[in-house]
Amino acid sequence: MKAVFKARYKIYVRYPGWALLNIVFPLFLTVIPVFLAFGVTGSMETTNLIFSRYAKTEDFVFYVLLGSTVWSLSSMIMWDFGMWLYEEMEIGTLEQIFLAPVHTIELLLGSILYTLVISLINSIGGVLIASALLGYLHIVLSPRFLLALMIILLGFIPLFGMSLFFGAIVLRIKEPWAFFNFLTALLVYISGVFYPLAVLPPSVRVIAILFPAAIQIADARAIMLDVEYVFSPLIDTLLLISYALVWPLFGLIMFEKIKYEARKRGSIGAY
Amino acid sequence: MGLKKNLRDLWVITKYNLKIETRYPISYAASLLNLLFWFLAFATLILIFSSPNSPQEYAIKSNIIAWGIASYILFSGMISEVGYGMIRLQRRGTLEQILLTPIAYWVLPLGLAAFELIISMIFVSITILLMVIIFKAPIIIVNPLGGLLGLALFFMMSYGFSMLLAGVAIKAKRSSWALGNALTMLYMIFCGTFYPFSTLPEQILIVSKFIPLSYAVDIFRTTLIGIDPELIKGEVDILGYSIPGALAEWIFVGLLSVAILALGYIVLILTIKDGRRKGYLGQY
Repeated sequence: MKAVFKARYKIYVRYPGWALLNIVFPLFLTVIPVFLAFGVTGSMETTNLIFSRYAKTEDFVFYVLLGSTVWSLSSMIMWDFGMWLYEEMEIGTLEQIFLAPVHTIELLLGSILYTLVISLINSIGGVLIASALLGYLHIVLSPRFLLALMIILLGFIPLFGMSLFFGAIVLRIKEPWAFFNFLTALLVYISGVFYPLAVLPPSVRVIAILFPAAIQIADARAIMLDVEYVFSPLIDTLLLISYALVWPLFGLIMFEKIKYEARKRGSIGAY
Repeated sequence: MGLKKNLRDLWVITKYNLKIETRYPISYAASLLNLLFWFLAFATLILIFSSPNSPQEYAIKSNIIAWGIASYILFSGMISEVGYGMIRLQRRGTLEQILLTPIAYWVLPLGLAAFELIISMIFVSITILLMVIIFKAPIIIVNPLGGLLGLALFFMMSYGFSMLLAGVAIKAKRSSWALGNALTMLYMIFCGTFYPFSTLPEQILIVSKFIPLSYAVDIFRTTLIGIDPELIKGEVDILGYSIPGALAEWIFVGLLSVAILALGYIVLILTIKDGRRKGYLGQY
């Protein structure tokens, strides 16, 4: 576990440009919808006024910043394990890794530790820089932030399970980019990164709440901005706990099944 | 004879990529859905904030946004296919073999670009169709020939930047990912992809005016829609002569397109020659 963490961390620190981009990414993802809204309405006052009709807050910029940050964090956790396997597969070292006398869970935990450390440092750094630039530091540096962080951390458990499932998909389909891009776009649309879930059609909202990040985003906003929860604090937390029980188990079963099939067919090393 | 051979080689590279693409229909469908959902995410925002009181202005803004997204599809496709395409071949160990075959150096990147142009045009058509359906806004094409010329200049500029990235990427390898992503982010924020330039805050607009691609996007979409350019307005004084802003922007974009294309080509070819001499084309 330590070896996986160390290996991945060493590669990461060799490319400081990656860290820089990860830190500015939430700010970048905030600026586009804000400018888009500004472009349509013509002024920030009108933007905030119209937005308050839908989200019960007049702080559109912070609303999107929070959504973008939680989204970037969740997205990184969800994809990182699969993308790591993809890279190892592409350069021909995946079979060697699976031949090492370690269990999948050890590999996953090492990878999780790496993702957690890197993505949390990047996201907290990113949100602090963005808040300082946009004048929201007083909101971020409050006890509410810690409470929101707890909800976000709880949502990570099912996301790690999902990351195992996506790792299984990488082993099966080999070229996961189209799937990755499609699912990323779908999740940006349904999880309310830029807007409240309430503006989505009812059928889309049902799909959205099956996805932990949608609840993480909505609840982090509810805690920080006093806007509405998806259902209520209790129901949302229970939902996240139930996902935290189901997804890791499902992900592990799927991953072991597909890895076993790939080993039998001898296709782990093939790309 | 030379031209005929080069054109044949160019077609082989384009066909090779198209064949690969058509072998993966699920991947293709996923890409279309990817476009649909990004569009839906931004369309939801636009629909929240749009005012139904000014249908004419709404139609123009919708068209500006839709053609801006269309330009982004082409630009990001070029960065991915040409900029990262070369590094992908290097990572898979086939770049050196391809460059050892008796083809001109410019054939490989241009073949990749031609393939991307075909794919992008399909995606652009779908984007415009989505605009009509989701935004309920009419397609405005007032000057198709002018728009086509603007698109050609935009293509040249994007291709130039992509070759520049490919040149850097062949040498810098994984470090170049940050550069490619930074280029795309800068493009999305400052080049008016998702919004008209006229609505940008002054501080952002100043940065936009320093980026050549902004002018190419502006001239392409405003010519097509039949409105005045947003970046160079009114009359411009050049060497004592007063010329219309639109003409000045055309000249500016024309010169910049040729210059960036030449710069990208030179950087890529010099890197390939250097890589052959020092032996790093096959290393990743």
